[in-house]
Amino acid sequence: MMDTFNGALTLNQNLLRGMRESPDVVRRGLTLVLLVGLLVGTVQAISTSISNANTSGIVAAVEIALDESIQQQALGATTEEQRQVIGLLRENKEGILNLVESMIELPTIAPRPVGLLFQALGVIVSTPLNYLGSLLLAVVFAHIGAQQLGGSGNIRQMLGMGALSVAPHALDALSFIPVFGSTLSLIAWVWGLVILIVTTSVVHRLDSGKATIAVLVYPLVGGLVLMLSCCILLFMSAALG
Amino acid sequence: MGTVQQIINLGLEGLLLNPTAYRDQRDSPQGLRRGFMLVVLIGLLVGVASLIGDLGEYVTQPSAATISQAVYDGLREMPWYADLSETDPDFPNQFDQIFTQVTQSIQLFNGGIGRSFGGIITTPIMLLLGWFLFSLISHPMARALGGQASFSQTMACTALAAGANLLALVQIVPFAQVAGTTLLGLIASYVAIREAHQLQPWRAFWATMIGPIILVVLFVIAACIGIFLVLGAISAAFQGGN
Repeated sequence: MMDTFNGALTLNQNLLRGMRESPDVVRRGLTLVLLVGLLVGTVQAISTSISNANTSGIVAAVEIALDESIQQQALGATTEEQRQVIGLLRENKEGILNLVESMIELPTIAPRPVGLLFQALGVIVSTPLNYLGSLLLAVVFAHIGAQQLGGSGNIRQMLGMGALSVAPHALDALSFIPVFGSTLSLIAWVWGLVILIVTTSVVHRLDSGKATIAVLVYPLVGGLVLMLSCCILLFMSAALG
Repeated sequence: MGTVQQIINLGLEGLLLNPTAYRDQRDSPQGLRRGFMLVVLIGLLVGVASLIGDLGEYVTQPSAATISQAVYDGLREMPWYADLSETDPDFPNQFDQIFTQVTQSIQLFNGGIGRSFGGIITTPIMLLLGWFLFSLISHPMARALGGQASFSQTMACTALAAGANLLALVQIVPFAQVAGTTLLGLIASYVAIREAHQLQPWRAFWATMIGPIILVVLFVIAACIGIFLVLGAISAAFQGGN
C-alpha cells in the first residue's frame, strides 16, 4: 500500500499503468482512501477532543466565532435594519454565551467523557466516507467527460485510479495548525486535482489536454450555471423591490 | 443459498464493482434468490447498526425536553426579551406560542429513538422496494436499447448494487456520518445493467439513469406544486386579513 501511496504522490507512470490493468484496482484505490481518511480523521478527532475537553474552551471558541461574525456583518452593513441587527447581537452576546455554557453542562445518562469518546470515534469513521463522497462525484463527472472525448477506460478503472487523488489529502491531518494548516489543505487539493487529471489520462488513454478538459468541464459548467442562477435570482429580487 | 458470510462476501464484490461477481449472478439459477437474501440481510444489518449508533447518541446527549427548557430559559434571560416585553405586554404569550410550535416541529422531525427501532423493519423494506422499482424501470429501457437479459437476471445483478449500503454500517458508531452510498449504488447499478444486458457503456448509462431522472423530475414537479400551494395559501391569508 505504501508503494501505491508513494507512486500516486510522485505520479509514477509504471505504477499507474500497472494499476490500470490490475483486477483489484477498486479494492486498492478504496483501501488508500480508507487509510488516508482514518489518518486524517484520527488526528482531527484528537485535536477536536482536546479543544472540547473543557467547557471554557468551547465557550471561548464560540465567542471568537461570534465576534468574527459580528465584525464581518458590521463591515457589510449598509441599511439601518442591518445595523440594528448587529446592535442586537452585540447587546445579547453575553446571554448567547451563557446559553451555550448551560447547554454544554446539561445532564446526560452517560458521563461526558463517554460522549467525547463517541464523538471522536464518529469523526474517525466518517472522514474516509467524506473523502469517498467527494471523490465519487469528481470521478463520475471526469469519466463522463473522458468518454465524450473518446476515452476508452471503464468506470472500475476510473474509480480505483481516481482514488489515488486522495493521497495528498494526508496533509489535511495538519489542518488544525492555524494559517499553515489551511495552506497545506489547499496544496493537497491542487495536488489531488493534478493526480486526477493524470490518472484520467492513463485510464482513458487520452493526452493531458483532453484529460484536463474531461476533469474540469462539468465542474466549470456547473459553477457557471450556479453563478448565472444566482445572478438571475438577484436581478429578479431587485426588480421586485 | 449460501451462508451469511457468503452473502456478505457477495455484497462486498458488488461494492468493489467486480464484473465477475455480476456475471456469476446473471448466469446463476440461484441469482435472484441470493440477490433477495443479500438485500434483506444488508437492510437488517444497516437497521441494527443504525439503532446501536442512535442508542449511543441517546445516552450521551441531554434529553430533548431538557435542551428545550435550557433554550427557553436562556432566551428569556437575554436583554432583547426584556426590551420587547416592555414595549409589547402581549409579547411573552406570543413568544411562548411560537417556541412551543418550533419545539414540537423539531421533535416531530427528529422522531427520537422510536424511529431507530422502526428502522430495523423499514430499512430492509425500503431497500427491497428501491431494488424492485429500479429493476422495473431500468429493465425495459435496457431491453429497448438492445439488452439481452431476462427480468430475473436484471434483478439478480442489480441486487449486488445494494452492496454499496455496506458502507452505512459505520452508523454503528455514534455520531458517524454516511456519505457516498447513493452515488456508489448508482455506479454499481450501472455495472449491473451493463453486465446483465451486455450493453455498450452509453446504452447502459441511459438504461441506469432513466429511473433516477424520472424520480428527480417528479420530485421537482412535486416541490414546485408544493411551493405554489404554500405561496397561494400565504397570499390568500394576507388578502383575507386585509
